[in-house]
Amino acid sequence: MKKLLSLVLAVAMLVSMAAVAYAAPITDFDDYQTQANEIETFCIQHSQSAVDLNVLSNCIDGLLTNDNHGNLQPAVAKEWSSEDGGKTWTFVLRDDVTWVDYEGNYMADCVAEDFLWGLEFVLNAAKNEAANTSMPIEMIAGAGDYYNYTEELVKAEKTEEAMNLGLETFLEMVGIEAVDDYTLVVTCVEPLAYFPTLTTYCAMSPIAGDLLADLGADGYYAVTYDQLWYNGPYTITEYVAGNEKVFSKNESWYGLDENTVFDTVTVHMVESLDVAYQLYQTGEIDHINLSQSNLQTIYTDPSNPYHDFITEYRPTKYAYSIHFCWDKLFEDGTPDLNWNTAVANTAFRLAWYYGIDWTDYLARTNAINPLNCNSYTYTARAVSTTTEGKDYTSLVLDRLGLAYTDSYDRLDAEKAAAYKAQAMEELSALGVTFPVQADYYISGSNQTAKDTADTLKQIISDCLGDDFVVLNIKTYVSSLSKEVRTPQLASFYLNGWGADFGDPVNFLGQETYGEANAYYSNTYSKVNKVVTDQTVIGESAADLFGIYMTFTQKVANAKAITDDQDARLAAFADAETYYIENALAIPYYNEVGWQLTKVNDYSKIYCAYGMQATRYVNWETNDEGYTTADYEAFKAAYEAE
Amino acid sequence: MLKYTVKRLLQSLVTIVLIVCAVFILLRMMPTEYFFTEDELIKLTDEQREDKLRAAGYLDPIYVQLGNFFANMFQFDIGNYYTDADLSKVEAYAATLSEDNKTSSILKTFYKKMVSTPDAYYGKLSDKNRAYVDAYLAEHPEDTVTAELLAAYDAKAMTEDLMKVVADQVGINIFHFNFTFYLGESRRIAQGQPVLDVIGSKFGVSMRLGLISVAISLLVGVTMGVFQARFKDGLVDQIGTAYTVFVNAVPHLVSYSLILVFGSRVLGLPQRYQLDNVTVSSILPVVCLSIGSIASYMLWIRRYMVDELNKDYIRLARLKGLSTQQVMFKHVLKNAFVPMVQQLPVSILLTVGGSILVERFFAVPGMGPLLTDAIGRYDCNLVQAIVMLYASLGIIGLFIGDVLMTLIDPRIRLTSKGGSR
Repeated sequence: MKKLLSLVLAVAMLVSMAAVAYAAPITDFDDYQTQANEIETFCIQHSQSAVDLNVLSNCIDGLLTNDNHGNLQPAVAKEWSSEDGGKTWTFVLRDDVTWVDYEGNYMADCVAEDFLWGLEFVLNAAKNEAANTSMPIEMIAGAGDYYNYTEELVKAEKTEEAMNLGLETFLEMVGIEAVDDYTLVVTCVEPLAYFPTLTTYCAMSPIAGDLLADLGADGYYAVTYDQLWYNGPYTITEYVAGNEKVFSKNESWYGLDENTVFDTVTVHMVESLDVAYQLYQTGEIDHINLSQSNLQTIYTDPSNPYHDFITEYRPTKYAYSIHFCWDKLFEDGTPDLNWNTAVANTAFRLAWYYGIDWTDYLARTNAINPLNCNSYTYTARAVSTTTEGKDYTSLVLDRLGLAYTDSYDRLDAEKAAAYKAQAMEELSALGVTFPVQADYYISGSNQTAKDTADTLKQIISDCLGDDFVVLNIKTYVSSLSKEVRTPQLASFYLNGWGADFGDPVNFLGQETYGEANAYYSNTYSKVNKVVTDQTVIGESAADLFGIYMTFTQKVANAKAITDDQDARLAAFADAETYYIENALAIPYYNEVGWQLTKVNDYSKIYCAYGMQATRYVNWETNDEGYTTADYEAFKAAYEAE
Repeated sequence: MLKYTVKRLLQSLVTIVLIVCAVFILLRMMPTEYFFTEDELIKLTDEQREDKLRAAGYLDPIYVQLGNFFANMFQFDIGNYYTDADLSKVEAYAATLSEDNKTSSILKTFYKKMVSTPDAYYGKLSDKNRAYVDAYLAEHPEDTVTAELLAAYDAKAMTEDLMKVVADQVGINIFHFNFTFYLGESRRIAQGQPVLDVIGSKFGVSMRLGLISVAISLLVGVTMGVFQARFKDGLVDQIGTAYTVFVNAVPHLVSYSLILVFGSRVLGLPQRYQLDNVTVSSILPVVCLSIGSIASYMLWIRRYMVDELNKDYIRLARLKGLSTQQVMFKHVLKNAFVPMVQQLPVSILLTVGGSILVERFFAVPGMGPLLTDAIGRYDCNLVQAIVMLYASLGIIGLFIGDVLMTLIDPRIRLTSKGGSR
């Protein structure tokens, strides 16, 4: 059967390839970015933002990278291993990696010490102002101590001393060592099987020691594209803010024999997607994500020249969920007991979980195949895989008994009605009045957000009934954080989370109870602030605390498994299933939109963590553009690999 | 006139200082959450955020911050030091010392760091690179300057005398007197770059497009305005009025889109400002910048000229036998121009500051969107510098406008016995 399937797919691919046989691969690729996404810094160690890393991931190579299935691949390190179950990691570096300037002139060899300079810069509070410190501090032995040491120097007004720190103190305190020019050893705080995934991220990027000596820490912080040294596939040969940047192939790149890269990539800055669409039509760019209006124009008109060329791009790295606020306050600072008590009731949340059909909401992003945007899991796809190559989220789906099909499988009207009745009975007994008022906040200046919120309000009204919940759409002026989150005014938020490294703890660890690093628990759900009978009425609070404690323990149990990747993922899947089945958050969305493109997305690096997915490496292209049918064949072939 | 000029300039200076203070204080009154990106809000602890604000000086009292801002504004450097231009010459010199690429590259860095920031450099010459320098010196025992530098590196004791020795060897004079007008560094738009450099890199582009647009607008707008007045209620006047109404009634974004589609689809002009094709790719942005000003000049010239045409002195001039052309250009246009000339320098200077919409629309790397971008990203130093620039342009423009007005109409005096205008 497998052979037959392979044969069919091979034929499909051949037919597809024959159809585009006249088309040639692109050697000089033209891409675009909207003006709001202009790069802010060329200091990769300082950047925490996609607008910078989209660019710099093509310029600075770290120890490892990913392939189009998200698997780790060698980059500057040709081998990596741990002999003690993940506590100590040894990376053996290639000896042919060089640093070049923006014009491609040789500047220095890239050696293990460059990774020390990179990490020292990240962890030095004076040099890098705490940017990108969170993961190294959590994972690398002594990293937190070194950060605190430099922070104390700054506080003692010895900033100059901290700025001039070399590697001596750093090596004494931090668990990283360059055994020789081509061997780097990292000691983790505990056995961490997923540590190598961190090395694909900018926090572990190298800095050429000579460049740092040349520019000084201050100068490197403010480094410009024509001062920077490059060890990646491209150098930036031209950059004008707000207009364009030109990447040119780095002729000295060590990976040229094993990978394909463009001769040049020009990124054009555009005012909006509509302008970009004009540029695509005149052939000035080779790819465009379609806005809803452009998609509708093309899709509904069979005579449109692009009608057969619309293709779906792959899911982005962000998985979205409803995050309930357990300690909502009124504007006068008093607790909203009605909401807090209601939402702490499991039956109340499960009525939402089983009762809401998100299809219309998903259609706001993907009008043609809304369910392709569906997400049933809290963790995003392609974050972690089992030793057999199975995606972690499929373990959760199996446990939930759900699958991505042509219908909205999670919807269960009977269960929803039963939970609604149960919630109304239990909560009425506690004094909760119905309908429960739920406050949802959007930016006041964003019409798209307003339209989407109106859809949400309609869905909630239709699915849950106006006698149960009423959604109040409210607005903030400029800062969700300042105006809504800090004063705890929203009943719930719709958030997307993208991973920085490849382990489910990067998702589930944000939701645990009583832990300082649990981001969502501390900043959105505020579960740590719940006080029985003050913020929530007694019985509901007990229900909520019980579930949170169990979930937190399950996550702790999973984290403790460090010597067996499959057992670890299975334990996380158990924790996540428990989390979802109790509707502590409700997963609902993963962005999958439409595009016109001359690139086969399935050939691109695809990874839901780190920064490697934006590298212009190994892209299959044709200068005529790919059709919908091509993409269906690509997808089938990819899934069969 | 001199007294008036000095007085106006002093008043202007006070105005600019007041504007800068107001903007400075308002920016510091914004909640500090705006200082951080969403990513930073997620990833930094409260303490780390506090450290970052402290390092940027945002936790000092506002009067201290304001004092530091003005204190750092004027910087003087006197003495022996290497400027960037000097360092380039040093690097060029060091690069010629060895024919081996790697040795040459190492010597470039070695020379540059030793004469510029030796204290930060001591101990950073790797063993591998040191071996190259040693090998070079073994082959070139006559190069005493490099040998002296290496000795100073080993002893961690670079001296000013040795800096001069290197300068003599390179053939440069390193005694400098330098005055710097410093407004701080950009935080988000171009991390760590002096804000004046950020503005300087964009100002030239906006200035070029702005001046071309003003020239075209004046030429076309005034000419059309004159013809409209001359042939009032005729076909030319009707067409001109229709154009003015159209430009003012249709939202700019719509008219720019029409120009973009027409220009690119029909005329085949570039849709974006292109660095390798500046002249042709500037056509559509200049047209967009000009259409509004042309309508404005047409409207006002027509209006003032029609007013003037109805005055008695024009009738007298006609009675005296002056030709229509002489009446129109010698008398009517000149007098009609007086109210406009005062605003002209301001509009020219502000036009060179860039247009947010046009520059954003055509991806022109100019000044236009800089202020809104800087505000949106809480780049305080950049906001202050741009506000200062715009305020200065406005004030200078008004001053020049006043002076021009007196030149065109000598009856107008800026000063009188009782005081100034």
